[in-house]
Amino acid sequence: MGAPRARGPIPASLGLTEIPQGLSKLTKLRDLLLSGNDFTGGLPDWIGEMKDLRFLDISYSNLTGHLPETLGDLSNLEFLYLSYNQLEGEIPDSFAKLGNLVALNLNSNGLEGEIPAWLWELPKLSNIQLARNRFEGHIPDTIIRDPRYVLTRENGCLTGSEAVIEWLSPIDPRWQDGCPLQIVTEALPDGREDGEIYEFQVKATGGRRYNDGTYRWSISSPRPNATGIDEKPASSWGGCGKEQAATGR
Amino acid sequence: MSVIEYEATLEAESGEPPYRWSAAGLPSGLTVDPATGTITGGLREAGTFSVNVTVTDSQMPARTSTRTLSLTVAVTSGCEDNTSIPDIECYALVEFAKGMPRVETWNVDIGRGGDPCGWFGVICRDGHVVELGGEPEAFYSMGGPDGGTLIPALRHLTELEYLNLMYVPFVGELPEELGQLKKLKTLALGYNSFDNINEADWLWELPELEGLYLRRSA
Repeated sequence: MGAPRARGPIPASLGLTEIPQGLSKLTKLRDLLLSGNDFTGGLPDWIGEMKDLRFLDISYSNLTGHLPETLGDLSNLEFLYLSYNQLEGEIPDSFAKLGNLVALNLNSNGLEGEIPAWLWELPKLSNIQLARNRFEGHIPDTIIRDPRYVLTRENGCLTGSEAVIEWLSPIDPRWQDGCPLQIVTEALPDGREDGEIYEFQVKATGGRRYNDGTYRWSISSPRPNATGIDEKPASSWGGCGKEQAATGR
Repeated sequence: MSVIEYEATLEAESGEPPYRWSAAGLPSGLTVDPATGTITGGLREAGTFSVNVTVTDSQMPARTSTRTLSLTVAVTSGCEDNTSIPDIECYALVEFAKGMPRVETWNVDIGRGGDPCGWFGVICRDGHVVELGGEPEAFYSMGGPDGGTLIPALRHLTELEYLNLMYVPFVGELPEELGQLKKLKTLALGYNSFDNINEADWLWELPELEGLYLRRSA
């Protein structure tokens, strides 16, 4: 029997404590992966000076503050991964300049505001992950014609057509927590009235789970005068639900 | 002192100091300081060398003495068969492997003879090592349960363009000597545990760097 070997976890690294400004001296840098560090503070404005960046991953890094406008200056950027931080505020207008962006992952931050309509129109963007923030807005039908991977669950109220929701539901069981997706119909189906609860053809895969063990979805018309929001136990249809019961008409 | 650094001081008896020294036949990379008689430098070739050392004293007229010394540079174990790259690069690989305990226990072929350009994780071009650790997890866990040590001798791979040291993990110091690898285009240090990573300002002085991977625990 030999002597017991020293075994144990590798001592935890301190990791990087801030995004080093020296990075801005690396003028040829194309790929930068800094994820998993424990940064103090947020994304610096000078990050927009790293013009050759194609791949930027600073996820899981405790970043705070806003997305800097200067990120929009990274015209070669193809992959932007900033998930699992504590970023706040809205998606900057400057992101509309990110014409080479292929993948955007902002999952699990504290971002809010409308998802800008132009985001869905960025020519190369095919992977859009915005889950677990406080975004609102409308998901256009174009994501079906130009298939994209889209993850938006656990946000503020997002809207989309039935077709969009049907398209998204297999990959995005969005009725889990918080305010789920709201079904929008261009026109009310024949024989329906605003606010009426009705079934439609969506094979929902998730649902809000209640203490009694049931799952519920509900739907509403998007019209301003539609106040009928309700919840119903259901197993095969989806829609918009809010926590409050129907206010009726 | 790394094994490939060499230093020795010549001494003379009698005569009148100060002496002046010269030496012929030194292995390449070594020089003698004429005033102190100190031979220093980095060893770049193996073999046995006959070195003619001449010392001149300060008398008038000066007296000169010459001796032939034999200097043997032993090839570091594992580089006996190297004809592909400069020996100093082979030594650097052997030393590098010594910092990862499982290279030996797992019988990884680094430093075990044969052509170093065929060793695990090594890619050569034009007679130099240009890539080390090309696979994404090449040296995964080779540091063993207590972690490995990153050996500064790696700095001798001066033509290196790609260095992937992820997942070893290394513990302790990230040697600033790696800042001499000015041709690096890709440097991956993630999933190690260097305790001076926040002071590694030499990283920002690598002019060709295109890819930098510092995922914790970098």
